[in-house]
Formats: sequence, C-alpha cells, structure tokens
Amino acid sequence: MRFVANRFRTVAVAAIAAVTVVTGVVTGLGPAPSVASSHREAPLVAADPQIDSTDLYAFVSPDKPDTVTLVTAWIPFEEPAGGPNFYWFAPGVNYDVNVDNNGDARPDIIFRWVFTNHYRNKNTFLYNTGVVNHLTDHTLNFFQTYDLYRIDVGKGQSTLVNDAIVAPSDVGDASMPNYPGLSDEAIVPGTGCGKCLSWAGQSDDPFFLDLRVFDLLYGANFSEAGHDTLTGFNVNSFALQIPSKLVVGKNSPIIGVWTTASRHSVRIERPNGTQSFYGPFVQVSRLGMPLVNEVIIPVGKKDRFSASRPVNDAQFLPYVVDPEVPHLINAIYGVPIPDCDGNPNDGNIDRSCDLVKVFLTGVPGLNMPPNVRPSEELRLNTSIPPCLPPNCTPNRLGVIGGDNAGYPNGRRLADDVIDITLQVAEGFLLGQQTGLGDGVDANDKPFLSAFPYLAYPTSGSVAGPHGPLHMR
Amino acid sequence: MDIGGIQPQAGSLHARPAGGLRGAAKVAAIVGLSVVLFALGAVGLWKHGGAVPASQPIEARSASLPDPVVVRSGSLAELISGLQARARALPKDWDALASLGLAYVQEARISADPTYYPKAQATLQRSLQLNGATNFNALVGMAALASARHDFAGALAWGHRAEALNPDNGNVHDVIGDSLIELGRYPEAFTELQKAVDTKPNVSSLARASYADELQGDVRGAIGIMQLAFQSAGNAQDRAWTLNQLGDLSFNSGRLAQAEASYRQAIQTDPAFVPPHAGLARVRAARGETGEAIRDFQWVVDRYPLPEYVIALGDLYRWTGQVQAAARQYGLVHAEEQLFRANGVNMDLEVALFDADHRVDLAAGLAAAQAEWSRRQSIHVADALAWELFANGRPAEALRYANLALRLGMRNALFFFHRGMIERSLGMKTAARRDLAQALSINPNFSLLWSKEAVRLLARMGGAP
Repeated sequence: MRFVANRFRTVAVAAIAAVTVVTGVVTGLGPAPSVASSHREAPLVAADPQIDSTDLYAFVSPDKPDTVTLVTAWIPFEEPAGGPNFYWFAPGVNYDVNVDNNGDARPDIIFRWVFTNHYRNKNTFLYNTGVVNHLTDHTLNFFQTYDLYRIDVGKGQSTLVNDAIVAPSDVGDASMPNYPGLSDEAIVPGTGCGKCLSWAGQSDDPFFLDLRVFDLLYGANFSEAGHDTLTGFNVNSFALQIPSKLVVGKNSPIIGVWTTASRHSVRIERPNGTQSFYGPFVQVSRLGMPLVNEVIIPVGKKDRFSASRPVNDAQFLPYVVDPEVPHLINAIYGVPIPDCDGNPNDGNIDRSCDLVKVFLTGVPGLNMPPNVRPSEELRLNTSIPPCLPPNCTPNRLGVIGGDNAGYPNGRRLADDVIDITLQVAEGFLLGQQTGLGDGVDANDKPFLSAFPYLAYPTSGSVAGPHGPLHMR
Repeated sequence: MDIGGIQPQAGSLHARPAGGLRGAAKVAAIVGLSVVLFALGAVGLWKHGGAVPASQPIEARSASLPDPVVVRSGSLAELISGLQARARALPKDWDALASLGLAYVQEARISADPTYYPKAQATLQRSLQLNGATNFNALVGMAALASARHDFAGALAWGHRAEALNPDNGNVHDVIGDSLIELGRYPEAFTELQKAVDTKPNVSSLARASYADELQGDVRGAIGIMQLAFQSAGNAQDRAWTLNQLGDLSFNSGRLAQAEASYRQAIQTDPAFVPPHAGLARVRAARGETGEAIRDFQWVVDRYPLPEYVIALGDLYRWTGQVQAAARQYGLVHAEEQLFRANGVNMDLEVALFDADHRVDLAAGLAAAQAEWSRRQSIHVADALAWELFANGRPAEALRYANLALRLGMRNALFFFHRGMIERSLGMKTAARRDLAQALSINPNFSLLWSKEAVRLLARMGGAP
C-alpha cells in the first residue's frame, strides 16, 4: 500500500472541500513548462496510481473451500462520474502476487500479471465508439489484455492465462447497458492449474473506512467518524482462484502472501556508449498486511519499505515492537499504552508478545508456519474452513471477534481491518478492550457470492456517487 | 451522455475545459501581469489587457479531429483550495502544508504567475517549523522552489538535506539531478539521475533520464525513454507533458511530421495544456504558414505569457516586417523579466540570450551572462555567454565558450549556428561552413530569427564543406 498515505490525504481533502479527487499531483509537482527554454522543468510526481496497490486479500473461497482466492486492487480513487473516465493497468509492469509456502520469507511461487494496450481503430483514441455489449465488440475501441504466469522460483515458469481481456471501465449505462454481463465475461479458466479461475477489470473499491481517523496524527479526534470515504470510488483489480493444494508447501497448510509491482529501469547514455537501453526491473510497491505502511512504518522509511523484500524485514522490527499510534492515542484519549511487561512507564515498550506475532510471524496455533522467519506477509491457514451460516456466523472483526476464518488469518473482503488494527494496536490481545473504530463497519456495496466476489464498479452515469459528506 | 466520442463539440465534455478553472487562474495571472506592467510604464503594450478573448482552443477550430477523451484529473486550483481548507481545519498538518507549498510552485509555473513563489516559500517554511525532523517532502519542495527561481546551488543544498532524511525517495534524486545539470556538473548529474531511475522508475525519473540522453546527443535514446515515461504517466496532465516533450524532441531534430503528431496527441490528451499549441504554431511557422503561426502564438501568449512565447511572437512579427508589433512584444519581455525578478526569479540567462539575439542592451546582457557563468557552468550558459561576447564584438573569447557549449555532444542546432557565426567572423571559413551546415542538418527550422540567415550565409560561403 505504498501510496495509500497519499490516498488518505487526497480524500480527506476531497471530503473537506468537496473537490474532485486528484491522484498524481497531490504530494508532488505535476508537469510544468519551462520558464525559459534552457531550463526544462520535468514533472515531479510522488503519486503513481497505476502501481499503487491499495489492498490485498487472501481467503479460502466460501463457495469452493478446497480453493484459495487471491485479490489485489490498484489505482485508488477512480472517479466514475463526469467522464467518460477510464483507467488501465500500466503496460510493461510486472504485477506480482508472491507466495511463501515454507515460512522462510522468500517467494516460492510468483503469480505474474502483465498487461498490454490495444486499439481496435488506430485512428482514434476514443475508449468506445458505440454501445458495448461484449468484450469482443469492435465498439470497445481501447482495451487491455493480460497474460498470467506462474513462476515456481528456481524451477520454472508456466502460462496460466494467455491474452485474456480485461473488463473495461464502466463509463456509463448508455455505453454499457449490461455492465455486470460484461464484467462476468472477463472470468476465464486457467490452464494447468486445476479448476482455477482468473479475472481482471474495474470494480468497486472493496476497502471501507472513514479516512478521517488518520487525522488523529495531526491533532483531530474520532468524533466525526462514520462515513465510508471510499463510497462511489472504483479501483482496478485482478483475482485468481486456485486449488489450495497447488499453492501450499509440503509441510504446512499456511501460506504467506504479498503483492509487488516492478517497472523497468533504463540505462542513461554514457560517453563510452556501451550501455544497453533497459536496466533491471525495480520493485516500486509492496503490500502484504493492510495498513502496515500507514500505521507501522514511519514517514521517512515508507519508500524503503516499498522497495524492500520480506527476507530483510528485520530492519523494520523496531517499528512493530514500539509503534507510534498507541502513543498518539494515549496523548489524546488517555488510553494506556499497551506493553507486554504491563509497565509502559519503565521507558521501554515491547510488543513482542502480541504485535510481532500478528504482523511478523503469524499467531501460534492459528497461522504461524513452522520454522517461520519473521517477515511482513499476509498469512493464511488454508486448512481453516470458511465461516458459513448456519454453523458459523462471520464476524467483521475476524479472529478477535471469534471468527478464525478472517483477518489476520488471511483477509476477506468484508473484514473490518481498520477497527481490528486499531483494537489490536491498543492491546486487545493483552486484555485491553477499547472498542475503538472508525464507525464504518461494512462496505457501501454488498460483495458478490461467487468469484471474483468484488462488487461491480459505480457506473459513470451515477450523479454524485460519493455520498453526502463529499458534497458538503 | 456518456458514450465516448459520440459527443457534441469539445468543451462541454471535459471536467476541466480549456476555459474552466485553469482559465480563470490564467485571467488572474494576466490581470496580475497587467497591473505590474502598468506600474512599469508599459501601459498599452498588453494587447488584451486583463481580458482573455473567448475564442476556442486552436484545435477546436479544426472540424476534422475527433473529440478528445480525457481521463479526468482535477485541476490544480481545486487541489490548492482543498489543501488550503485542510490547512485551516488541521493547522498542524505539516504534510498537507508541504503539499500545498509544492502545489503553489506548480501553479506559478502553470499560470506563469511568479507571485506564487513567495506564497510557496511561506507555506513550506511553516511546514518545516511544524516538523523539521522528518519532513523530507517540504525539503523537496524547497529544492523545487529554489530551482524554479533558478537558484540551483540553493536547490542542490535543499536536495541534499532531503536526501539525508530519506535516500530511498525517488524525488530526492530527481531534484538533486536537476540542480547538478543546471550547475553544469554533468558526470555527477548523470550518476544521480541513474540513481533516480533505479530507485523509482516513473514519469519523473524517466523524463529526466531522457533529458540526460538528449544532452549527450542520443536523440533516439531520448525519444525511446520519453515514450516509456509516457507509458508510466498516471494522469492526463503528465501524459500530455510527455507527449509535448516527444513533440519537441522530434521538432528539434527536424522531424516535423512526427512533431505535429505528438503535439496533436498531447492536445487531445489534455486540451487545457498550452505548450503543445505553441509547438503546433512553430510547426506552422516552419511550413511557411506565417499568418496562422502568428494567430496561434497570439492565442498562446494571451493564455500563457511566458517570455519564450512572447519572444517567439515578436520574432514572427519581425520576420513579417511588422516592426511595431514586434517592438511591442519585445518590450514586454523586459517588463516580464522585472516581474519575475521581483518574485525572486533569476532571469540572467534568458535576458542575455534575448538581448544578444535582438541586439539590445548589449553591455547589460553580457554582464548578465558573465554573472550567470560565475554561478554555474552549464552548456546553455556557455552558449549564451558565447553569443553575448560575439554580439559585443569579442569573437575570439566567444569561441572558447561556444566550444564549451558543445562539449557534451548535444545535437543542438542553435549551439552549432552560434559557433558557426563566431567562426565566420574569425575568418575560420571551413569550420564555419561545417557548423552552419550541421545546424541546418539537425533542424532546418531551428530558429524563427536565424534559420533563413544560416541558409543564406552558408550558400554565400559555398555550402557545406
């Protein structure tokens, strides 16, 4: 969630001033012309939405419990209205979901999505030239395809999906009168992966929260929380459903998952002229557990975290052992700072007994693999069955709500990770129950009951899609 | 109505039409300029006063083009008002203040209104007062501000302070690389820009890597990398900027058709972005459509009164014998220079080149170029100093700097033309013929003022050696 800090800021701004969300210029300089031809001022952008992974989900599929579903979301704050607006994955980028199935903090399997742009009519840059009923209609002028690879690290690579079409942005009802049908057409079976299914396209942003909880960092309080800030915003997502037996290791049903995006560097011309054009692929984003880069990693280390690998996570250990948020909440609300030795006033906070387990090793007896090397991954025990009524009542608070099929054992779409994270950070596992939360308990749109489970995006035809707070 | 392309004429379709909020900012900028020009005694020179004529964008007049479809991205004015509201609601939000300061720097560039620079400075300083310990974004903002004011040594110092806080941030290396380039410290600059693109390959670092190739004479590499920057751009504004750069790279290497295609695509991508309109005006001038070029440049200058566009318009008037109209535009250049200077922008280099080209204030121009050379030894400053020395009748000294301007191997037609003229006056006929021919082979339309002169002089000397 490399740039989610920007996303938080952006929408907070939008909420206050009722302005259009701006991704791309928020914390940086946009393109600028030169004041004089000799001094060229290039863009200076901090936000890079196409490689900004907003969320990662990994869960045992509720309707197919012998499979796991992996979902990632990208490009925060896709504005549906006022368009036609359309969004696409960055071509030439390696979008990876990494799986560590033996707890050694290194990827054993990499699922890699690579996208390509196409224009059916090369004489126009229009998105669509008429009504689109099917993905293959010639009226869908611009579209993307993708290949999905499975890389067994050190062993080999296979192609699971070849040239599948990405479900388009929902530019509006007149252009796309049956958008759900279009989106469903993008669900394709993979080859060589059992009964696996793949999908990529636009969806509703599945994350739900009141972003203003983060204003805490600047001296605000929780009094106004309760509105899902992401109401009416879309994201681009892709998802894979694959038999669990094809991703787990030999010795454990527990997998650790994280997503990364990598882009080609280039070689700048040098006087000897020997350099090749392309440089190596450089990792530009990383996301495993939600909120880690927002709540745990300090501001000056976020860039380092985005470029880092789990195997080197020992460098971030101090921020997990003594995170900043409990200190801020203590200062404003007087909630005691949790401490494993029960004595926060001895000048030494140590959360090795709870936060380190939740964020770095997995919880023993739940989702900690044998011989684990501490590292930040979203850890899922695939042997824990999905929580389905009538035998089990799903709880938005997951494990701390008594529902072991949810976060932090993997992450389901409906898990309320803001409330869980706040309550765990405030010492829930140490017996300190605060009930803290942002007042938003569910997504503004219901999730679907079948793969890819994500809600359909908000249509470009919807006027005022973001709810009353944004119109203030 | 949402069917892309099946739309009424441009304008109603866009979240931010050319005459929208950004246009309003433009009005404010132009009004501001007019006030200053009054104060400077330049009354009457500003043709349109405070009013922006309600004409359509240049491309909207052409019925043959399809309506542009843009990915919506909010305007900078909206961003600024949002950040201002946030700063009022949460006055301790140092990060929002850093973003606001950066946004002011950007607004100054986009609106050509330098009065945003003092605002940016105050805002960034407030952000740093709230958090001076970990606030690298504000330090990057200070670097960008110093750079925009052409204080490149200052920009470098701010950049290094930001780097000490967060060496893993790509923008830190971008701003350090920018400063080193403008200071003429090229080997260090290219190392820094390599670091930038290896830290975070994105539109910012790729655009700079492209420039590094261009400076070293690798135009193909520069175009290839700028195409990657285009692919990496996350919004319409950045895409339009990279397309405009591709247009400039093509124009400057004599590829008129490719330049036109890139400028047109840039305009389709972000109709409110003015520079590609100026690019198209240059293409028209190069094709001999001088009347249309004047009309288009006037349209550009009305919206975007940057000195380089005002000069171009003046040059076009002069080329067509409209001496009075040319003089009006030239008069504006010095008025603008004073406005920029009053807001902390150093304009020595630009003034020197203008003065030498137009044979005005030669002594002052030379002094300005020498002052700039004492601060920084870039190839562009070397070229300006050479041209000023030549204009002041000191060609022997000029040659030394003309050679320095070409030390990186940049395929800059104007640099070759300047050196050719200097060599000619020194009686170095073969060298002069070679350099004038080189200038014309790189780009036969390298200058509104000088291209035809180069052709004439070269022919008189017997053509290319």
